[in-house]
Amino acid sequence: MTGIYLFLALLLTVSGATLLRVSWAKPKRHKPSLLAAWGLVVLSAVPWSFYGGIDRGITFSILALSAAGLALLLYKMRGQERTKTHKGKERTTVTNEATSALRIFGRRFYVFLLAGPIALAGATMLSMSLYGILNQSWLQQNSLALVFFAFPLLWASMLIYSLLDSSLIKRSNVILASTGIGYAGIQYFSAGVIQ
Amino acid sequence: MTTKAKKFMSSKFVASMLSSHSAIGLAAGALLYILCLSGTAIVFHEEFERWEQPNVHEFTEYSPELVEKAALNTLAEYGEPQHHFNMGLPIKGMPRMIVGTDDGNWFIDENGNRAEKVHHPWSEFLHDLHFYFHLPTTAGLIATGILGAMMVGLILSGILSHPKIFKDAFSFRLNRSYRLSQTDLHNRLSVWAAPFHLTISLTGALLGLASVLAFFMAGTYFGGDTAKVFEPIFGTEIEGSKAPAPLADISNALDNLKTINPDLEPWYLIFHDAATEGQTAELLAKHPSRLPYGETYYFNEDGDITQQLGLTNGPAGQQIVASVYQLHFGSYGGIIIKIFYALMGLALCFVSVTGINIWLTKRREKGRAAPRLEQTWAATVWAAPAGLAATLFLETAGFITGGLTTAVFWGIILLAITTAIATKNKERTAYILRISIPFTLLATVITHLIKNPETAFSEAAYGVNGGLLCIVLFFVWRAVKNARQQQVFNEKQPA
Repeated sequence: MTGIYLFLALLLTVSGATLLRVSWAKPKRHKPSLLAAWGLVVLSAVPWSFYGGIDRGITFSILALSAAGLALLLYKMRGQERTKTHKGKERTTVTNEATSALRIFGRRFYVFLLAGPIALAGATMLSMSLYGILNQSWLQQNSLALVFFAFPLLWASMLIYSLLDSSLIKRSNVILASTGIGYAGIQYFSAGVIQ
Repeated sequence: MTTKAKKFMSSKFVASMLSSHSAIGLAAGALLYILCLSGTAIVFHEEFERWEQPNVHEFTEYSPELVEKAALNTLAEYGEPQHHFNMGLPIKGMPRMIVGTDDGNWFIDENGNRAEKVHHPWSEFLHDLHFYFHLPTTAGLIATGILGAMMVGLILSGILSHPKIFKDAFSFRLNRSYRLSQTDLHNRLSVWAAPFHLTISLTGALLGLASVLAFFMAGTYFGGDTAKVFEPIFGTEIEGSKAPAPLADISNALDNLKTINPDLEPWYLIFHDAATEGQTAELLAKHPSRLPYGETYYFNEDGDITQQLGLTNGPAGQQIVASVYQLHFGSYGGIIIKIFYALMGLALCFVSVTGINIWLTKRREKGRAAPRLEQTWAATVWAAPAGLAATLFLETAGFITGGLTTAVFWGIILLAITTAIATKNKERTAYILRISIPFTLLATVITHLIKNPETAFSEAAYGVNGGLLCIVLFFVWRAVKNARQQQVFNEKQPA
């Protein structure tokens, strides 16, 4: 029986990936075929779950989609000759900005502080505040799990934001405000919420 | 696409996101690549451990009495209570019985006696590289956790900076300009492997940074005790009386476990203050078809199962955290999943390399070439795998071990970078390093066969040897293919 589940799971995954390829290749967005493709992919999680258990099965279905997509890509790549040109067009223009080196260094150092230690501190404080909120009504294990996952995600998001190509003042304000909110949250929730 | 969505993914937004993506990639660059490369190899850590000591007695069938005998024999040899005492029981991926005390780990032979000491220095070197970057443990773990979080940032910003992510999912232009082919390779591998890459980076960041968060959370919410943060998920050690007492009945506990579920696979026996009145005894068992690494069953001195920790049936959060390690290292679906993880890990290495390559090429095209950076990068890309291969050979041959292996690995990278910069010839440096890999791996396999002729075709040896030979064959195939392409290219040129 396991063999049948595996076969069915593979069949649905490969069909889904192939249909995705066909749908995305169309010049105009074709909703029915896209929905059908994603439907097959989602449906493949069922036989995968019967094959490997629910939690492992869902993981298998996601990994199998990646594998099928990459396999189709490799199939498309075959026959294409790698280019021999390893150096792109080289221009000789040299930027000649009058900005002082010290100012550039100062700005870069501040961006480093913002994206690194400050954003990390902000993510830590926000995560701790989140724990304070969740732990009031959730089971402690669930609160801890969510916070452990939220922490790197929060820092990664703040890292991305602090390195965006936009106004440094705006970026600073958002990051510092988030850190401040996190700090205020900790002060509020640490007052005897969890023992 | 709606107007709102169009506005959200405006060219300014995409450019800004791309700028953030580049900045994170450049900051993490080489270290991230080494982390991915070591991660690819460490997927097979159990196989490497067995390969390094192929002569150890392997078995999966054993009686509970044998386990008890081995435990009692070991404790009797010490003559004094052991604060930490554990036993690794044979399972499918690691069919060896191991006993661990306060001063080391030993294999157990078929008679229940201690045999040779567990000693797999290259596997430990690889473990320390991937987990700690060979830094002191806490600092190293935080460093790798930070890199994991940066990788999460790279994946998220990469997805957001790609407005036609699905439309382009299958487009590939290998035969166009160098930058375009590198960009396509980078984007396509990133997109299709994104679920895997996001999973391993997020779980990696969690494994590395959980201790940081726990430290601060402990100070605020748990009275400064970091262990209390993890207690709801992983349980705790209970300190009790140290007065001598009989060891808790292992044999009975193993029998009782089978009555709970005959499919459970006992994996570890963990004692705190073994053979004392205050001892705690735990039996970690693998659950078939589940993601969590196992379930902890507590048992009393008579071997009765008294409690289950809840890693497989507790709150969802507990089960998810218990699955993190398995998800990160791919140890939940046998060798097929391990091979898949290794291939996806290689894809991540390609993504890291092509990312920096794109940036360097763009710089060159804009007339702001950075030759030293190019030389450093080319040397690092090939020195890291060459360093891993060289240390594996030198360890197998018995020339180096321990700290020296670490020094050799980082020394090779440093030497390669210095040579590339000094000679101003990154292609030649990269070529020498690249060609050294198959030769070193072939020498490793030959050395291993010469040193262990009686176990050459044992299960412990042929997997790794076969895998290494496959890598050698891949390099040979690439070399032949490149030579043929060069020949065709030369023939097409006018005389």
